[in-house]
Amino acid sequence: MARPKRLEAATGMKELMMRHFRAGWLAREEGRKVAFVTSGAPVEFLHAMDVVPVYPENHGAVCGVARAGGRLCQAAEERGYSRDLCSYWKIDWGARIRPEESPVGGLPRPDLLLCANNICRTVVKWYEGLSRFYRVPLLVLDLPFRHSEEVPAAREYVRGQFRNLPGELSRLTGRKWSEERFRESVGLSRKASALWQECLDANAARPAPFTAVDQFLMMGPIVTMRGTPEAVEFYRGLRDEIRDRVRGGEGAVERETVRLLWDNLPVWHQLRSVSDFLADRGTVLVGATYTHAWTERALESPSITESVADAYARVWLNMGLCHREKVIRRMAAFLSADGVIFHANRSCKPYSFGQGEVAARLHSGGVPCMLLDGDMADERDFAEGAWRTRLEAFIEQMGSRTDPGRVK
Amino acid sequence: MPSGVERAFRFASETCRSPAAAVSRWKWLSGRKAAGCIPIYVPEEVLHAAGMLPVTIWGNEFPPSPHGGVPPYVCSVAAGVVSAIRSGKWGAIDAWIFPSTCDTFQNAFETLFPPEDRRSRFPFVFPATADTHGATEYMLDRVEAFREWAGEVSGREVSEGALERSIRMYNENRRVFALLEERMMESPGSISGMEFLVLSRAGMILPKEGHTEILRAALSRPGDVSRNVRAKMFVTGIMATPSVMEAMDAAGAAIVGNDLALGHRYYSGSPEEEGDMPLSLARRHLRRDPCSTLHGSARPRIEEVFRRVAGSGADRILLLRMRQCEPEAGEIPDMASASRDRGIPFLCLDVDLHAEERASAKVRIEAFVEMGE
Repeated sequence: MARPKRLEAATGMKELMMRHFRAGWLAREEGRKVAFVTSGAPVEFLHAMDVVPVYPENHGAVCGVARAGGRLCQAAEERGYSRDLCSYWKIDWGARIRPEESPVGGLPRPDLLLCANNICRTVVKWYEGLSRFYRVPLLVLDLPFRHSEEVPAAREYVRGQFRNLPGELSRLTGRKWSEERFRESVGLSRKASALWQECLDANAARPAPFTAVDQFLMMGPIVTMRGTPEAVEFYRGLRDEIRDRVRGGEGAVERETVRLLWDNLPVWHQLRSVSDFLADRGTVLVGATYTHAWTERALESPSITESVADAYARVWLNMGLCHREKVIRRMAAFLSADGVIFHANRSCKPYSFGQGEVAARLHSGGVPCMLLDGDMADERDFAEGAWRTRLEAFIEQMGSRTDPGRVK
Repeated sequence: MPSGVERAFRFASETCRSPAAAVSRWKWLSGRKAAGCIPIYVPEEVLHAAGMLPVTIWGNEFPPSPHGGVPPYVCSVAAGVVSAIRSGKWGAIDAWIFPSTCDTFQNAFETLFPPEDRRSRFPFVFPATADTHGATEYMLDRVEAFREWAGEVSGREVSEGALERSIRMYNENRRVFALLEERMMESPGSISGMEFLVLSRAGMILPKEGHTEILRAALSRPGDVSRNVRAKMFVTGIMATPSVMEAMDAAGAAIVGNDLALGHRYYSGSPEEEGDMPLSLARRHLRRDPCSTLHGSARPRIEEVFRRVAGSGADRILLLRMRQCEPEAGEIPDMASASRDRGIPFLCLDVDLHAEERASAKVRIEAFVEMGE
């Protein structure tokens, strides 16, 4: 079986992520403050106050990759959570009950919780539960959903909350606000994000130097280490390695014939098998909307706080479906994709509901699309046979009409 | 011949059986427009002041269409709404309002209407947190934008005076509904579960003026007409289905309090009747009773529910969990645990608007009633 070529950066990546998870436990031992944060929360404010961020969602992904998701979800269901709840949420609770099932031994106790609803509304309820359980304060940032044009009052509402955040964090942590460290952290976030974008854009080359499955595995630092020098260093190394591949005309997949885009979170527990299955058929996932979402960054502006607020308000899942459709079209054209796979992710309603309509619109515009049902982290909701059959048929359909760079 | 009370119940019941017919009839008689409101936090007073009929669409007004194309992970409320709109069943509705109640409805706003459907739509993205800095100003901006939109759609400007009259009208309706809930608490069984369901639901279809009269007629029934009450229930969740209400009535369970979205949560909280009217509506939204779809740190929902349970004299809690509803599902383990701590029997029953669950609801509710006897 043909397999995608492994990136050197992958080795360092694993170690980096283990260090990140250890940092939370270490922080507790050192008496530093630990905050649980959602993936769309402005972590730069925490860095400015030396508060160590820990990401329960990322922990869910790690458990998913380790195929521990199903067992942890079940543990949460035994506590009374319903089967149809988000699997990240259930994994988080499951690991509190059975930390030994988590590949990183669960998460440390937080001192506070910072939750931004720009990725979904579900996280607010999740964090309310955490606040009750740990009896720690919860800060919620409300970033109104944007359907089309930006509403000026919404922008001001978000900016106001961000301007207040240093004061709120100081009150809760007893730490002093450092504007200098905040600026430094925002600068590092920008750099990491720009480097990440360079990596993703390199896949416009033919053959594509790396796959979206690599991207899913490599996106850990851009999610959990935004605003740190470690993230910048890691993505600089990755960018250089990818550049070398492009210069050498080296593709991730041998005899690349079909190029596809991926929409939604990955199926963490099947990353390798999906990747190998596709590679074996000369198919490469050249991009993913989920990995692309992390290229969003604060623009250069005299008011750095407002610029950061604006960036967090326009994250992928906080934007309407018409915007998402436009971005998918743009990505498909830029990356010369032959078609799009939509992962209808049971656990993520904001990402999944409406995919069918977007796919239909793309299809009517000549972009072949397919929808596959699954769950990002709970392997109990994955029908391997059905996936293989449908993917096989889709790839065959692509292969029969391969005309490089067709999607314009 | 049925009494005035029974006629009122019958009228409410018929309205609920065929909401689209009720809306069409109102339009034919009034010559005005109807606005479809997705549950549950549309400031309807603005629509009323614009001369329109606000109609809350719960997704169970029509049988689900086989061509709905609704994914399986969507709750039955959203599935019913999507299915009905896509299959063109809500032709009587002239304009739509989509509040940002949940992730599903946020996305539905942009995708569920076919391109040829030119009916006006307003996405009401309200503050999701009650006590966030700047929430009042933002909500006020949205109310003003909504007011302008409603004026354009109806062709009738929403004046301050009209808004004040509408707020008074709605507040009167809320007061009378609160009296109904009080009656249910003080005279358990005097209003059956099914009657409560139709009275609550009818108020989301009929003009509030008429609904208030129906509620008054219902209240004129003697309070001491009581059934054989075996259990006093506090019911929470998004909504009850007819199957659940029938099962409760058959088992001798009386509702003495509720926290249902299609019930107390919709009717509670009155805006001030003096001063700046849009500001009054904005404040009402932010001071609502705690709800799973809103975050408010000052009054956590679970504590509020138990405060109300204690005040109602309920001896059991029935939580009706709408399948696939994440905001509601997240609180269940903590609510169950809080019930255990207080020694209050607790039952969580899954509901789905489009599933036939009469038999299972009956068996579980009967067992729940027997459990505490």
